[in-house]
Amino acid sequence: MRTLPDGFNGAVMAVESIEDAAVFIHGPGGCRVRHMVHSTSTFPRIAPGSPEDYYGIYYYGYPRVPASYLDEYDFINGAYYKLAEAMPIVGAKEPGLVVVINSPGAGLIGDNHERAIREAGLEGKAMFMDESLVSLPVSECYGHTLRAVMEHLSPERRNVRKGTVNLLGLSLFDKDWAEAKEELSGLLEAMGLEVLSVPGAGASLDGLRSSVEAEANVIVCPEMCAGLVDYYENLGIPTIRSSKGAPVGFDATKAWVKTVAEAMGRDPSPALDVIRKAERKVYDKLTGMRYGALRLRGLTFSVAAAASVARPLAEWLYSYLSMVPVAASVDPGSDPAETEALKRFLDEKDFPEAFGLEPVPCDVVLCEGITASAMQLAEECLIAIPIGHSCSGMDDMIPRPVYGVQGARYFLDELMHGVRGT
Amino acid sequence: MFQVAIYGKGGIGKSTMAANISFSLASRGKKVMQVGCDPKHDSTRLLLGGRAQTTVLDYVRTTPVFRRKLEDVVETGSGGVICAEAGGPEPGIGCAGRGILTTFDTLKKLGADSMDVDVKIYDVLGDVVCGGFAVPLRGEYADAVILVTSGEFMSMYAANNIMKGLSNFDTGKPRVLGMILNSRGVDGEEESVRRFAVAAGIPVIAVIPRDDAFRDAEANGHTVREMHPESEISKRVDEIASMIADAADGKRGLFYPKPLDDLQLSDLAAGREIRPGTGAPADRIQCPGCGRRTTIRDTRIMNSCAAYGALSAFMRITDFTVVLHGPRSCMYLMDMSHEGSSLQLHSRGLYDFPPRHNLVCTMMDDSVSIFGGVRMLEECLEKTLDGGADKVAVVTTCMPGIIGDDTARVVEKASAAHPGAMIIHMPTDGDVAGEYGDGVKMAVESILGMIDNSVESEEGFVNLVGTSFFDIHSRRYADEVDRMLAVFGEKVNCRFLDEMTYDTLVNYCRASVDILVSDVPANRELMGMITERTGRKPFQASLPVGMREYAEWMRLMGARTGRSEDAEREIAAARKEYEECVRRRRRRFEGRKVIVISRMNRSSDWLVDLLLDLGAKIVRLGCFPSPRKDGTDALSRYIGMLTENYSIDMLEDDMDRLSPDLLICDLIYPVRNGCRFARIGKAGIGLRGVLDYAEYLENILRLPATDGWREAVR
Repeated sequence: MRTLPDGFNGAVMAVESIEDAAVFIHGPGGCRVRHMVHSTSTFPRIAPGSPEDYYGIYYYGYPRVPASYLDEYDFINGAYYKLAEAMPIVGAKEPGLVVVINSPGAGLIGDNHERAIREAGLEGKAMFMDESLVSLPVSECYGHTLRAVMEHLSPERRNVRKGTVNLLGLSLFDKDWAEAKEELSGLLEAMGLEVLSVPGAGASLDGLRSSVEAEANVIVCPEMCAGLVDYYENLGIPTIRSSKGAPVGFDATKAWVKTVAEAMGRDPSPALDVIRKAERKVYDKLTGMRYGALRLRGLTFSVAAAASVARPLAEWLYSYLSMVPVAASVDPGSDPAETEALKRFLDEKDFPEAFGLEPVPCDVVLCEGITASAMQLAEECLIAIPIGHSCSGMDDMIPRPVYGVQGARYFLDELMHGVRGT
Repeated sequence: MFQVAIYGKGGIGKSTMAANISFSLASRGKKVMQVGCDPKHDSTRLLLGGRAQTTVLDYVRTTPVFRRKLEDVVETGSGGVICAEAGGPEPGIGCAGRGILTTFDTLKKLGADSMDVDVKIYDVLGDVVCGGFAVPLRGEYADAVILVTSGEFMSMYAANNIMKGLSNFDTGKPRVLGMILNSRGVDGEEESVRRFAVAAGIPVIAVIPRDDAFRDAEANGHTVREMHPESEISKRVDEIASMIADAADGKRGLFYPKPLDDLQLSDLAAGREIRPGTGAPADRIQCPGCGRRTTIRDTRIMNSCAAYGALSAFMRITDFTVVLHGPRSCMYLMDMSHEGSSLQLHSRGLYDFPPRHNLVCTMMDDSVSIFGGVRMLEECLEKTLDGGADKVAVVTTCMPGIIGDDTARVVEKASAAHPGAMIIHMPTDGDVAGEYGDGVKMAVESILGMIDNSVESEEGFVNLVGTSFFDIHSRRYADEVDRMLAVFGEKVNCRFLDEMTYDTLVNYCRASVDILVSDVPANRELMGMITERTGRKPFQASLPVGMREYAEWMRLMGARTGRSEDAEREIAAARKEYEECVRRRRRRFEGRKVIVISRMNRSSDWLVDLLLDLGAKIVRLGCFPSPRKDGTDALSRYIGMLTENYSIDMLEDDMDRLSPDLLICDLIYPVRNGCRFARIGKAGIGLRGVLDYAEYLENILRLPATDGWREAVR
């Protein structure tokens, strides 16, 4: 069984993706720690005040993801007293917004969060996500939570800033999301577009407020922003989405650029040049390696990810590197159209048996870190390439995002290193 | 939209009242929606011609999220009243209160909030005002609350509880419209209810007499208001509807209730005059020592849960599969921690076998928690066993614990159906059974039962015992331990509780002696459990750290194995190496002022020995209190030097006053004034550990006080 986050994890991390917001988990300490570690590792930021401010109750030395540390007593008697005590403490740290989220267990005791928020004088500065998101797909709940935050902020679309876009569908679950954001924003800027905000990947509350003035939204990974797209479309902001899926691999990245250019009436050439230059370098390198490059041809691979990532990745590995898909599965909550496109691709290329299979022993496994690493250590694959949703790569200093040119290089690096001497 | 919650004890007639009121409101031209919030799910029956409608919870149970539509769970009844029923779990399963939460959540997601409705009536069971049933009392739902009661004491008691629940959801505005007496015909009924109402400070807004019209209308599947619009009952119902309409228009005031305390309730029950209230909430336990909490300071702060501890313990036995009964998020959080570190250790080549990701999860979601997760656990367990697993541990998280899943029964049934399989039940219920260590302990109690006590011990084998093997989790220190044991011709039989096979565990008693990895309370407790289970006596000393412990340990091992001469030879060689190490480094430590702070429940004597041998001056040996409240528990030869309950403030003061050259601690602390910083957690096992640490400290003294990267961006 693969280790994937769910809606609760997604909701917590969606709030943590907002630069100046803070999540408060009404739940046991065990629900806090991993989120705290994940948030701090993937989105490091300086906590307001001094470190000593965080040695008190509810924080216990760590600025991110304070929690109410529920236990048996609280499950039986309710823990309103903790909410009432915690809200002023959390509010005193002056985050732009506090979002209170129930842990799976806390959802069963029905404490009065709104009252605690109101009595702490945090109305307007704090909100309660009054929904149970456990075991729902992480992607669905990530976008849903961001939408709830937007609804809480309720900015007005007073004017439209021509030539501006938002990037939607990047998340803190993406490997090196900040660098992916930088590169994709750079490609858009090369076409003369300004990225106003990247909700879900480091946007500030002000950035979210101003996002409603964008001319259009550009989708990276549709799964991670489904709810949010609806919100913006209701405000009249159109959505630009590539028919080739997320910008994974050179081909899908070029298609992504062309789609945006066409929709926004821009010349794609400057952005395409960046990608083509990178492609040229890879070509030169692979040509120079001669036998090294030949080792890639015929390698079998398993891929498991959100459909909008799995599909372009499978297509690229097949067409660009002549690799063989033996298993391709999509994460829960995957985009139906992308899932269908992946299936169609495998059918067309005569690998129908690969569709729906979770990673199987083969040469290369591309999926979340734990499954990939475990298979490699168990010698079930030669090369394991983590592509998100877990702790792998949090300490990488050379960015290895999945998207864009950097992503293509990341895959090529891992593949080339893995086939040395084979 | 104006929302009214009608509460009352089960069977008191609140659904009948609600349906009549809804119809009456609709007859006045209001667009009305009625939501039944009683597991009995008969609230809307009289509006639907006597027919029961599909409940939201039944729908949630059978319909995938993406296929759900609002029109499948709402129907239009008499007078155009829009009807919805929450429903509930089967008796004895799941949590009905949670069902109400889910119903509201589902209706909201399906768009019920955007329906064109003037008045929404919630018909709610009021016997038990748990968090779920209290949801309609929340500010966002009920603008007004009506209590339905009879003159029977239990009915008024339930009404009183609802008023208490209402005070817990105080919105800052009065919300009680009043009380409806639905007569049962008991003696002095109206008088009792009126006395109750006066004491509670709310009006009786209607007295509904017993009347055969109710039976007649219900037999036909209609409300009295619809079938007999000219009846006395209908007139009174219309009056209530009129009051609701006035309240919605702000023309009628609402009330803050004053729920009766215990003494007042006893007066009410006895038919006496009700004494004035004390003002103290009657549900607050006032007795001294009862321990009602008012702050998180009364909580044992647990950074992990027992479920994780039990899961982690069983996942170390490579033949076991862990079935985690809980939501996917629990699996994610636990597996990220456990498997993340386990894979790192595997990648360092510390184990002879490949990793096996032996974890599955029942993926409890919200709907399963309402209807109980038993079926899901049964299916997951069955699938796991059919898939070839023959040793399984079932670990429970908070959710099944709170809703009361009978997981023991599931395990019992599965064991009976699979006699060849070993299925262990670990009812940790998240953190209900405690934190990580408590879960490990629970699991160990069970795991110890797998040891075959009849296995004869063989000379030449030892067991290493510890809840954590961090100190030797590098090839270098694992080799050091092997080298130390090899002096006496010994090698490791089993690392308990580290990654191991079931066979290794069963043959635990093959070793002739058990040695603690480190002398910390958790390990001592573990060893105590082993001793109790196997009757084996542990070795006198844990694996040594530092020269003094090393010599002592060698002598004890020498004496045990009859190889004291080998031990003395090894000690002499080690001492020579140690002294040479100290001699070479001493000039850099001589007279240097050092602050050592420990937060770990283990002795730092080896470090004090080393620093003193190196000629350093220890100006403070501090010990931070543990946030987990279990204090420190380590023996020390330097107790006289120790400052207990050391704090950040004291450290700040010491940094300025004592001007130390070196701070050694496990806290990330911004040093200043040229003071160097070293980690205390870097020490390894045996002589090698302390020699390495001496080199580390010496290098620290030669390094810049501050890392360049810290300054680079200033």
